[in-house]
Amino acid sequence: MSDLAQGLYFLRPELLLSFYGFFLLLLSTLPVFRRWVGGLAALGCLLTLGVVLSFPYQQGMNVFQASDLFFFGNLMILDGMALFFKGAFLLAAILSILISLRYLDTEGVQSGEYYSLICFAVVGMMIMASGTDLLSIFVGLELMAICFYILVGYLRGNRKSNEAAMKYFLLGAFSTGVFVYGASLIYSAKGTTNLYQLAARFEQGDPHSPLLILGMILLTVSLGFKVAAVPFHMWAPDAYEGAPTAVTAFLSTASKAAAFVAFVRIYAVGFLGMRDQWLPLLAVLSVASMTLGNTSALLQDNMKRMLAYSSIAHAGYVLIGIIVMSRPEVDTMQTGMLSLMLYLMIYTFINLGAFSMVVMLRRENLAGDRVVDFSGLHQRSPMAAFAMLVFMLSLAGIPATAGFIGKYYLFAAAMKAHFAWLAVVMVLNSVVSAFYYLRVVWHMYQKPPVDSVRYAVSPGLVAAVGICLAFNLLVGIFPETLIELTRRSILMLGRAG
Amino acid sequence: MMTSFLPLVAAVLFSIGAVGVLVRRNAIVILMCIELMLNAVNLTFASYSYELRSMTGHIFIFFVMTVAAAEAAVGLGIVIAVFRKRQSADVDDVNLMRW
Repeated sequence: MSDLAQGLYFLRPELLLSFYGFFLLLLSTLPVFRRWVGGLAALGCLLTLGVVLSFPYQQGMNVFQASDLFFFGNLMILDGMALFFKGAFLLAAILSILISLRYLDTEGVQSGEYYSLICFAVVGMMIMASGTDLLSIFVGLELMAICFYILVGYLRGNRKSNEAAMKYFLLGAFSTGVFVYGASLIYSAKGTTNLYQLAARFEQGDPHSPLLILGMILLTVSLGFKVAAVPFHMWAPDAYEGAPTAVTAFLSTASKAAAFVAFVRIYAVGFLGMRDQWLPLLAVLSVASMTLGNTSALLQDNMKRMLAYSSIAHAGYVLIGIIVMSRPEVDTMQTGMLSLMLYLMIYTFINLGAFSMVVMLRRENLAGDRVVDFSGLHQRSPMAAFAMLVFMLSLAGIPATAGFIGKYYLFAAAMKAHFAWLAVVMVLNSVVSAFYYLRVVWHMYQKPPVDSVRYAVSPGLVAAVGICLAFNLLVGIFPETLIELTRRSILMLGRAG
Repeated sequence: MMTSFLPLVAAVLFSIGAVGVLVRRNAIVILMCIELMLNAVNLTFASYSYELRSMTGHIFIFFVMTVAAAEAAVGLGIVIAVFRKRQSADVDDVNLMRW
């Protein structure tokens, strides 16, 4: 097969979903179909998920040759990690669409564009997950980011939403400029933007020029913005609080995971040869994110803002996975990769669940995004309170929940790679984080209700919460299946030919 | 042609843009500064593309230009939405949420 034909074949999920997005846009112009667009969007993501899952079966699980994985002139790759994350993005998109269906009616902005923007954002993320060149990563990143700028400001009549969009856009565009300037400096130093070629140049023992180091630092700053790591986190609390809650749910899970894939590709492949230079940088980012994220979350009264700071702290935890990948031993590197992938997948389901509960509290004229709005949830709806309890315990990393599995693997990876001090910082931070997660639980179980307006329960929301709840409990108690799946994805990982 | 001074010019342009984003308060001016940063990037890519006799830089420029246009369209839309609500495009007036 020619490179183009093979590329188009490998690009089926992205192509399908882009066309589907345009189809939804077209459909939403006809008033008859307006009610169906949301459901159709979820269906489209499900179809794409089917296409993604069909790849390993068509190719046979382990028969991939490294050279067969690349396509479009080494711009992109279809390895196990790419497939794993594409699946995660699509699942996150489906769950976000399910919670949006009724929520957009409540906010009065039900429209087809919203769903097609979610589809396009997922296409961007999928391109990022496959990108092996700074160019393809940049294009994917921007497709995702531009869709998110619009989605964050989707409530046009809402001042908070406007403000969130403006702050997110200005800082996002700034970090884009920093990213491409970093890419241009790397190009000037090494003459290539391909990550695998960069890795090869390092092996030939090219000296580290100051331009290269500066380029690496600029990329770190820019990616730090995208994953909301301290000190580049200022946009996150405002964007999360102001955005429509369903968008926040999607933003805090899928876009973060996508930025981390780029992180892994750039640092664990392209910059592996200069690990001594980036290791201290990322260690500082990680410790600062964990500590500042958790201590700031303690002070928050707004649920979305609290979860934003908690997501900053979780970005700090995940960075440990990348730091572990700086070790030269192959099996340590794989442990780091495994822990990172597991954590991001699990975190997606926990956070989407938690934000679904915030969506449930948004009804009539109540914003329902304060922590006190959860008061008396147990009294009014024991099932909902139980679900929220599981999500909070999972975020805190209490055993028998999925969150514990994720934290445990990160901890074990850090220990194995002799980063015991990072593991200790992580555990201490988890203890701090338990305070604010359990405060929500205390409100739900010990306080009387503050209002009597009916909760905005809808079939889509119930389905989303049910899926997240089942995932958290099942993975918490029987983690083997997910771990095995992740391990297989890593074994399919392409190495430089 | 002598091109060795071009990356330096680009670096100066980029710094002007970056400082502008950090110190200016009008959203439109900030948007212009971001465009300046992206153009500095294009200049760097073009000069090294010439220097290294490689096409990668040229291709990158096309994508940067496309993305810059898309970003400006969305950005201006957001600024207009904010302006309609507050009659101001000053980023200091956008301060409902703090800490």
